[in-house]
Amino acid sequence: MSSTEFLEGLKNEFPGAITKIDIGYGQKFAEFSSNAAASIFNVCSTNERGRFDLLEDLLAYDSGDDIVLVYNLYSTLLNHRVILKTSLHRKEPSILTATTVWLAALSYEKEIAELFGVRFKNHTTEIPFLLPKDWQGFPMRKDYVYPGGYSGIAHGSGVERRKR
Amino acid sequence: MAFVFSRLDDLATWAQTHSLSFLFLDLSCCGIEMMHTTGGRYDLERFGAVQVASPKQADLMIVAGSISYKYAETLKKNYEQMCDPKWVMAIGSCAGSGGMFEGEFSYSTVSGVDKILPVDVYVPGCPPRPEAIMHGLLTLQKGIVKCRAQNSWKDSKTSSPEL
Repeated sequence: MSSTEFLEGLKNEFPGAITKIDIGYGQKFAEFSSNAAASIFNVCSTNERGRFDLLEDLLAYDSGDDIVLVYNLYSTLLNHRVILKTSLHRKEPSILTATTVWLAALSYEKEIAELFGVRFKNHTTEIPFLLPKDWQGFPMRKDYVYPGGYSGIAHGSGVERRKR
Repeated sequence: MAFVFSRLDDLATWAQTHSLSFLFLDLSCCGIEMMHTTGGRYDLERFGAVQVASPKQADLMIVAGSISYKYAETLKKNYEQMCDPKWVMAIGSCAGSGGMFEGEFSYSTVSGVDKILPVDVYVPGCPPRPEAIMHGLLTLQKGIVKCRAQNSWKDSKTSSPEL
């Protein structure tokens, strides 16, 4: 239960930044505002009751209104985990990179930057990871419109399919 | 004399159809079936088809699996490096028509290798069994014989896409 204590402590330390604490599905969630990302990442990795030294997963989803980032943190020293969530405006989503604290975030952030258009400040590289270099748009967003084609190849077979 | 030359031509046809060296592009799960076909149990090599590592040595390109837009350029470059006469086999639904990734189902997948290259034989299936792939190769061999009989494989290929 030490991660619950840790989250309570975090909320007392950053009363404005931590907006919500939730326990459900056997997991502990905390929602934080993206402005306080730097200090929250540092506290999570260094705090005596937290000591989250492993970023297990960093994922993103489009909720329709916002782009939501989900950080799954695990402490190999204290054997507990916590899930941090933050919502970013879909017009210009940007957040500080987590690579300075957890290096594992490097390729996750590259992928999210490409597929969701999130800008990670102070990220080391901006080389495209999965998509071609001149790809337009962010494919994993809900308002993404499929391309008519790419480099002279028309998209689709031109055969009408039955609507789902 | 004409008889001798026609017999020689038959010999050359037989040699060409039974010494196809193929470049195998394993792009997704159909590749596993293709590996199985070249393996010990099904043994594609008994039909004279042998896998080569470089497109410069190959005269048949076997495309097995879904093609992403990012890979399409590489595929074209590989095809251009092959020497004439050259043939292309599309294995599986994805290489044939895009399959389950066609059109609205994926933003990044080419709807069939025939959008990029001229295809000679399509082998349908998701994935096709090794017997089907073998049948595809035998169909191609028959097609090569037919084209050589017309003595203009290139013209016949450009005028009608099916052999």
